[in-house]
Amino acid sequence: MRKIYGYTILAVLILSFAASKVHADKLVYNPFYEAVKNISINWRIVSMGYPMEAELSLRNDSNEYLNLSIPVGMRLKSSAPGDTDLIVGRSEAFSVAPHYEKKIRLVTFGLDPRKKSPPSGNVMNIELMSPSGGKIDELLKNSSKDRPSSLDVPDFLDYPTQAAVWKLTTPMDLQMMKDFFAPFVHPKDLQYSAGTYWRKSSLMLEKIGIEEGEVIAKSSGGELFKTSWDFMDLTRKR
Amino acid sequence: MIMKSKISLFLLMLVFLSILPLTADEAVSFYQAASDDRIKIYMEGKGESAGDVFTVKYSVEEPVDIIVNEGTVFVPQNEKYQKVIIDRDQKASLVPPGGKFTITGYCLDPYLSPPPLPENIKDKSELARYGVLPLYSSEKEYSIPISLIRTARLLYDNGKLHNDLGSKHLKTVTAWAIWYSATRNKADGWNKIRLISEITKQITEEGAKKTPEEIQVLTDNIWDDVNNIILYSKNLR
Repeated sequence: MRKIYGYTILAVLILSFAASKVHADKLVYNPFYEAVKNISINWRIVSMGYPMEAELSLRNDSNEYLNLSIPVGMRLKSSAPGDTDLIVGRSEAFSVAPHYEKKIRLVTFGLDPRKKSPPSGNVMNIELMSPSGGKIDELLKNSSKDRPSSLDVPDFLDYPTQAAVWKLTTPMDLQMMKDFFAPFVHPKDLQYSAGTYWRKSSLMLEKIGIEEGEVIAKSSGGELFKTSWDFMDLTRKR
Repeated sequence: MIMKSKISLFLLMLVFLSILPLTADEAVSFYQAASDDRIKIYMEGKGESAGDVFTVKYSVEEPVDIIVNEGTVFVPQNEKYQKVIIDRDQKASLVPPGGKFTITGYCLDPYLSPPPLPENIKDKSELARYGVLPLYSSEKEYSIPISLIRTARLLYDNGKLHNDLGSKHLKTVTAWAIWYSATRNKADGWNKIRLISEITKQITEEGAKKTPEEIQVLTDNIWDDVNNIILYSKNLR
């Protein structure tokens, strides 16, 4: 008799554990751009002054744990007309305890070299967009995998990926790349650095099936986030 | 002894069955949630005919996950506003005491106004309260728009549509495909003539500098996409 009760209790314990396991497996990370629409949380994104780095600070005011994910390809749209829009280059998944604040450094890339990076320390007034699933997203997923550890090459110095993004979004040429690097590089190294990043970015684009000539040919706007028809709203009812 | 072990087995099964509902942690449908007294839901329009169409405000006593299913149609009590169809499954975690979230969809009655923002409603008794009508696939009226929505998404994801309007492109061509299908026998329907007129009007209002060739390309690309969505949706239906 005792044995049977013993087995019963054991079985209940096993089943309860299995049930809690099933429950835990169902835990899903809520994509950030969905969560901020659906859940009351306080957040802001601060520019670090480079196109390749931004900081997200987020406070969870709810009574629940928040499990959030920021996918590669999420776009941060700057409201200042002179500042470049940014795209997230590395996915992040994180949890925030109820009533806690968390800071996360985001790897981002500028989308338009003709515009300046949002100034350091500025809170960016942004609009969140889901990933487009296009060639830029594919490029960033690849580069995120290939990128050496952050100790060797800090993400915010990943110039080849930045150059590859620009080649996809703008009519980028070598001169534009030199102009961008001029403030950061000694004049005697400028030709070499710009040339190196140009070649490395071309190789990255070849991996996603885009040839150099094709990049130049299609760079009349291509996947640039803003279009010249941004003012147009054809679903507006008068 | 055998009897006792049978009782134990029965008790064990009872315990197992009582655990099952805990594991089946599925989101409840919006329709169920709206008819549950423990969940209070208020819907407000956002004044948009496509994209973010409703703000859903709620109050709950216990946390619950809900899902607004693709194809759910919201019918306004006031007939001067458009019916709205939900374009994809949308989940929300409702946490006490309450909050709000946004849902997306497309308006179905092109000649009527979209669900308005509360501040734009003069008669407060009209505040947009929506009855929830779940979609029945046999209802021809609603099977066409949902088929157009799915086809548009499929074509766009596979790079078969243009992208002149960037992030607004899919929403725009899907809405025009729905509205053109609903009004194609009418002279003032959502046809290519109306599209050209709307594009020209907005360029003039904005004072944008656009060449006739650029306007022609935009119009042709949007209209190609609208036609392709309708064509492929018929093939898939």
